[in-house]
Amino acid sequence: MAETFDMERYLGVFLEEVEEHIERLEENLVQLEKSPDDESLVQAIFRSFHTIKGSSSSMGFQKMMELAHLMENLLDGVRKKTIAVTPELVDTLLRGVDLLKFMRNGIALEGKEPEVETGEIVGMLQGFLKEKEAPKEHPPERVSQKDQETPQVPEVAKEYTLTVYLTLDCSMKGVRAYLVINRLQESGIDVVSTNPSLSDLESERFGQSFEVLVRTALPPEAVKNIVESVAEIEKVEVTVHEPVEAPEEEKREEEKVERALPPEGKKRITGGLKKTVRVDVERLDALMNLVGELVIDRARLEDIIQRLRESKEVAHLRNLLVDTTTHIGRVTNELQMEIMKARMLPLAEVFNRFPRMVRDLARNFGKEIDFIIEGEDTELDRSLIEEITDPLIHLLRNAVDHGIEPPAERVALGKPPRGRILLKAYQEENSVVILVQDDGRGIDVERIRQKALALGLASQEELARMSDREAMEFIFYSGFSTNDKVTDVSGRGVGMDIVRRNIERVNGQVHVESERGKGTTFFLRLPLTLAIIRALLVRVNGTIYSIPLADVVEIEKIEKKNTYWVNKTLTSLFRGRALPLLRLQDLLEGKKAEYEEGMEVPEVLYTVVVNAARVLAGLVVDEIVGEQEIVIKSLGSYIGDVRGLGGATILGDGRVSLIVDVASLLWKMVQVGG
Amino acid sequence: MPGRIMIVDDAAFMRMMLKDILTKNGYEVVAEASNGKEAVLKYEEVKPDLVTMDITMPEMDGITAVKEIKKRDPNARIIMCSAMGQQAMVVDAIQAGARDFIVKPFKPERVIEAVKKVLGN
Repeated sequence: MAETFDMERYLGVFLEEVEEHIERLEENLVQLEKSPDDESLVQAIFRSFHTIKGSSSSMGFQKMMELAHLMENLLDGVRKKTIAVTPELVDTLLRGVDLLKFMRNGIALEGKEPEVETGEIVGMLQGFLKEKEAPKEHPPERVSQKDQETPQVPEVAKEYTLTVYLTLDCSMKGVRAYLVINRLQESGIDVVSTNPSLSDLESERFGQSFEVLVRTALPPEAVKNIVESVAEIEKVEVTVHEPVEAPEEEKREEEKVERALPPEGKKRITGGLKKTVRVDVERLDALMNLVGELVIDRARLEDIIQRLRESKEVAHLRNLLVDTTTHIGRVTNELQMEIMKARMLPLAEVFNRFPRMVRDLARNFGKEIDFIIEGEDTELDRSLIEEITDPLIHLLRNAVDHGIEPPAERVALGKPPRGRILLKAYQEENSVVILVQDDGRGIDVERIRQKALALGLASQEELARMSDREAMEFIFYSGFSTNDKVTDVSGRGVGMDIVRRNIERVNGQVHVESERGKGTTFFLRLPLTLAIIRALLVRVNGTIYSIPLADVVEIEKIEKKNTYWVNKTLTSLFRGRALPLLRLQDLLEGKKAEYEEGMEVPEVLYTVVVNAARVLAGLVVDEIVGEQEIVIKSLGSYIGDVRGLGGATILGDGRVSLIVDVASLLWKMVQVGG
Repeated sequence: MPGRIMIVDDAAFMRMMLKDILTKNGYEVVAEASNGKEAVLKYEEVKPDLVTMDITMPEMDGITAVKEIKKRDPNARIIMCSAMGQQAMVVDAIQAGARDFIVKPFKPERVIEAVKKVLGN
C-alpha cells in the first residue's frame, strides 16, 4: 500500500513537471520561429524534450517517451544545423507538443497513457529527420564546442557527468540532492554545474534523477562510491568526458556563472541555497481568512475605543488600548500585504500561452502579425489570473480575426503589411491594467450608432447626445455583439458582453478606445486582490449594507428642491447628466425602486452615486455610516447566488453586513426597465 | 558492521520504534536521550558510533545538539530524523555536520540503509 501511495505522489510531480515543460515548449517553439539562430533557445527546447523523455520513460509511459525522444533528436539536428528551422518544422513540432499534452492529460485523468494514434505525427516528424542524415542517438545533452573558458583546468582533472537516480520512495528529494552535492564537495570534488539548476534541485523541481557535472582527479569508481555513500540513492551512472572535450554547451550559461565566481564552490553552492517551500493554495486561502478575522478584530477594538471615549475614568486604559490597537493595526496590515503577495502570480502564467495562440490564429486567418507582450512580470492574485484568461483569449482572437487587416489590404492602406498586437500589463495604484491593442481597422462608431438604434438600445436623441466614446461602449451590450453581422460593422467579433461580465464579476472594469483605420485598444482594469475591499457602509431601514467603494462615484446630499420629475420618476442632475434616484431598500427587495409622481419624497435624499454595468444611478439610503476595509465572506452554498448581493462581512461591532453587488442590482433594473 | 547507537528523540514512542528496528538488525542501542542537552551529555559519556537525532525537541533542538556534539567530537556520525516539511532544518543540520537524514514515517529498510551507509564510511 505504501508503494502505491508513493507512486501516486510521484505521478503528481511527473504530471506537473511535464505540464511546465509543455508550456515552456509552446512558448519557446514560437520564439524559435522568429529567431532560429538563438542557440540558447534551441538548447532550452532540446532540454525540455530530453526531460520529458527521461521522466516518461522512468514512469513507463512508452508512447510519450518515444514521441519526446523523436523530437529531441530533431532538435539535436537543429542544434547541429543539419535541420533548418522552417514554419513547417515548427508547425509539426507544435503538433507533436499538442500530442504530448493530450497524453499528459490522459495520464492525469486515467493514470495510464490514453489510446491515441501517433502514427501520423511520428511519420511527419521522421520526415524531417530523413531529409538530412538522421543524427545518431547522442549521449544526453552533450555537444562538442570549442571552449576557450577552461584552459586553466589542470590536465589531470577529468570531467564526469554523474547521473544520480534517487529511490522511488525517496522523500525530500531536494535535500537529498543537496546532501549529494555537499558530500562531493566535502571530498574535494569540484562541482561545476548541475542539471536541472541548483535552485530547481533545491525546490524539488526535478524527477527521480538529476545530473551533476564534476571535475576531479579521482577515478570514476571513487566518485561513484562517494555518491553512493548517501542513503536512498538507487544508482549512479558516471559518464567520463575526455579531457579534450569541452563541457556541455547547454550548461554553458550555468557554467559561466559558476566559473565567474571564485573557486570556493562549496561556499557558493550552500550560499545559493534558497529555502523555498511549496505551499498549497488552500493553505494560503486559510491564512487569508485568518487575516480577515484579525482585520475584523481590529475594527472591533476601534469600536470599543470609540465607546470608551465617552467615559473619563478609564482614560489611562483607553490610551493603552489605543496603543495596542495601533500596533495590531500595523501588524495586520503587514501580514495582509505579505499574504497577498504570496497569493500573487506573475501574469506571465497566462500571457505565455498567447504567442502560440496568436501565431496559430494568424496563420489560420492569413494575417501577418507581430505579437508583443509587455509587463508580464506584473503580479495579480491567482484567482483573478484564472478569471481573466478567457476574456483575454477572446480579445486577442478578435484582434487577429477582425482587427488586423490581411497583408494586401494593409499595404493598399499604406500600412506596413505586418500588423501589430500589443498585450501589456502594468500596475496603477491598487489595480492592474491590462491592455490589448491592435493597429488594425478600428471600430466604425457610426455603424454602431445605427445598430444601437436598430436594436432599440437607445433613441435617436440619446444617440445624438452621446460622444463617440460613449457610443462605442454599446459593443459590450448583450444582444449587440452576439449578432454575427456585427463583425463587418464594428470590426469586432462576438461575445464582448461576456468579456465585460467576466471582468465585472471580479470587480474589474473594461473599456475600449478606437480610431477608425488606426486600431483599437481594450483596457481591463482589475483589483489586486479579491478578498479585502474598501467599502462604504450605509444604513437602510436599520440595517447596515456595504457598498464596494470601486462602484461609488460620489456621495451626495440632494435636496428635494433640486430634483425633477422626468417621465414621472424622480431625477436629479449629476455632472450634467440625468441621475435617476432609486431607493436601495426596494431595489434589494426586487421591488420598483423609483420615486413616482405623487409619492412622498423626503426633504433631503442621502444618495450614493454609483456607476456600474454602464449605468449611472443614485441609491437613496437613510444614512451614510462611514468607510471601512471589509473582508468578503461568501454567503455560503445553501444561500447560493443572490441577485444584488455579493457576500457578507462582519463589522467592528460584530454585526453582519451584506455587501451590495451594484452591477447586478443595476443590471436587474436595466432589464426590468427596458 | 554492527555498531553502538544512541537514539535521541523526545517521543518515547519514536525511540521505541527506532530501537526495535535497530536491535532487530543487530545494532546495539547504548543510550537514549529525550532532548538535545541530554544527548550532548550522554554522547561524551558513552561515545556511540552513531547518533540518530530528532530535530524538534525541548531544552535543546537537534540542530544545536549536532553543533555541540561536533564541537566535542568532529568525527561524530549523526543521522537526522526529520518530519515532512522540515527541509530547511535538515539542510541546516547537514551544514552543521550531520551525515545523512531519514524522514518520518520511518521505513525500517530506509533506516537500516542510512545507518549502514553512515557506519560503512
